[in-house]
Amino acid sequence: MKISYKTTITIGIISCFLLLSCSKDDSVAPVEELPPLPAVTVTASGEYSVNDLPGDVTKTMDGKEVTDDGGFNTVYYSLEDGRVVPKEYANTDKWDIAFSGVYNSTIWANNGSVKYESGGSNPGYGSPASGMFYLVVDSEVDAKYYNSINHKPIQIPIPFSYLDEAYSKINRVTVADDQFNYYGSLGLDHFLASGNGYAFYDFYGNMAPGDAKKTHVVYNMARPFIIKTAKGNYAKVILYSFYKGKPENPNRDNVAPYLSFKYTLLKGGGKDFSVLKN
Amino acid sequence: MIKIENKNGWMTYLGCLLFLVLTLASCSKSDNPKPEEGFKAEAPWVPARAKMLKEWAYNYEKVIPVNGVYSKESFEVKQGKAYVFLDEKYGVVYVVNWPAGATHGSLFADPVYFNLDTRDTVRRLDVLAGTNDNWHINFNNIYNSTISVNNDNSSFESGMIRTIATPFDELDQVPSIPAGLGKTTDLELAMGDTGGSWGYYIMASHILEPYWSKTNIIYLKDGRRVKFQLQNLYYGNPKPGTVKDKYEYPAPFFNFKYFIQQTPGSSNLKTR
Repeated sequence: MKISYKTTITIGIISCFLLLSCSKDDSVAPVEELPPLPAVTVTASGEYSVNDLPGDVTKTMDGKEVTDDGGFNTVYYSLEDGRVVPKEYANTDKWDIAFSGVYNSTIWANNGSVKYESGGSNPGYGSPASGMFYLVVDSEVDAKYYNSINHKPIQIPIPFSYLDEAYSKINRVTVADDQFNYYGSLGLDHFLASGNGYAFYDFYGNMAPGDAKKTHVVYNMARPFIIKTAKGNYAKVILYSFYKGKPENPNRDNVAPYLSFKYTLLKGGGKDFSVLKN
Repeated sequence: MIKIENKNGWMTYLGCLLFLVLTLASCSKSDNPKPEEGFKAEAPWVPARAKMLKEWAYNYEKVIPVNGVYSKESFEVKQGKAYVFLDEKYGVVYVVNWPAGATHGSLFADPVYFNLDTRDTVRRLDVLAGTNDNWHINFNNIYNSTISVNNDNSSFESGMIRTIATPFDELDQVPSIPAGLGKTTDLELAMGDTGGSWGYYIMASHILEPYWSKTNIIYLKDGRRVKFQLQNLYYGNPKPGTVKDKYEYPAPFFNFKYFIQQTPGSSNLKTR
């Protein structure tokens, strides 16, 4: 790189101004106040439904801006308390599940220890939580709607009854903690950098040829997952939809991201969901 | 936080000088190669001292925008050139504008098998027929964007590919493997700008954006480790953030560089 003497002087002057402005603004840093948390809606073990939880609805992928990579803000949710948690609490144990990335479709448990050598980190990096997740792939239920060879649904839509079936079949946490995933995130099924996932993303609209409104549509699969919460309790979760109104057969006219899911939480560290059935 | 005593003008001055030096140093270090002296005219990201090992010409279709709109229907046939260079000073191989084939935009592009030692491709049909396994990596999937490593599963490391958030030239050593790291043998595009891959896919515009600030480490079956950076799948290796349209640059054309540490098990990747 060639830099002229004039440029050097200019840069010098500019950097002086930068420094001066630094020293000027160097007042006492205000104590960062965390915003108030919404009211607690969950206090006991049980099954809870969350419908149309807004993701970052200020963003869309329909924009044509070249620089638009989505830039969706992460949504943090406390399964333990049944409330959305503001982003200022990201590095605390106040949340259990986060939704990030394009259409808030990447799911995280809260784990404060995970920072990647490739850059990036768990959204809870720095928190005291050791959360993790386990995706349940029920091959019996999968066989009803999914081709496990080419990783595509046999047909769309995928009925919610299959999602409920796979979810209901989880009677207890049978996998040991060391089989859980604490390091990564849970994403779309076999799309780009992902293996087994919880939803099928029909990028090209291959499931409904000729219907332009069926491209780029996400179909949630019968793939429940178990979350180990920030407090160390277990919850099973089934995610139904990313679209407002929880349509079973969505298309591009449906508004996203609005998350609808159901979960069963066991307070107190238990692993047996069947005790709650009645 | 830098603190400057305003009373002492000379300290401010010294601080400015220090700042200036740091600014200039970081400028010269982190800037990606520009078509300036020191680099090849044919490929402004390849050092001028590198030796040309291979060169060949081919035709490709360049989309010509009509009223600012890029459409595959409007194109000119142009002559392109592929090169392989070797920088003997550091043993870095540069592969420039190597055409992946007529796979533009196809969902299931044919894999391209590459041998890092011979710096050449291996015939796909021979690999599929099982008569030639002498390849190290292959490029497959959408736009040949997935890098898969020839893998015999003989060890955790064998066939693994890692992504390190360090620029190619600054990665001197193979970092120790962090706890929790899973084995990746097929490196697919990431979906966001913090992903662990060679680049990511911008969903809104369908543009491939490489991470020039990251480097991959590939573990060969024979124990050797390779420092690798896929710089671009676009013809001409445009700088990240400058691509305006998915059809502005023809794709896929491989632009990558790599360094093979010839001693198996050695972690030395220094190329500066």
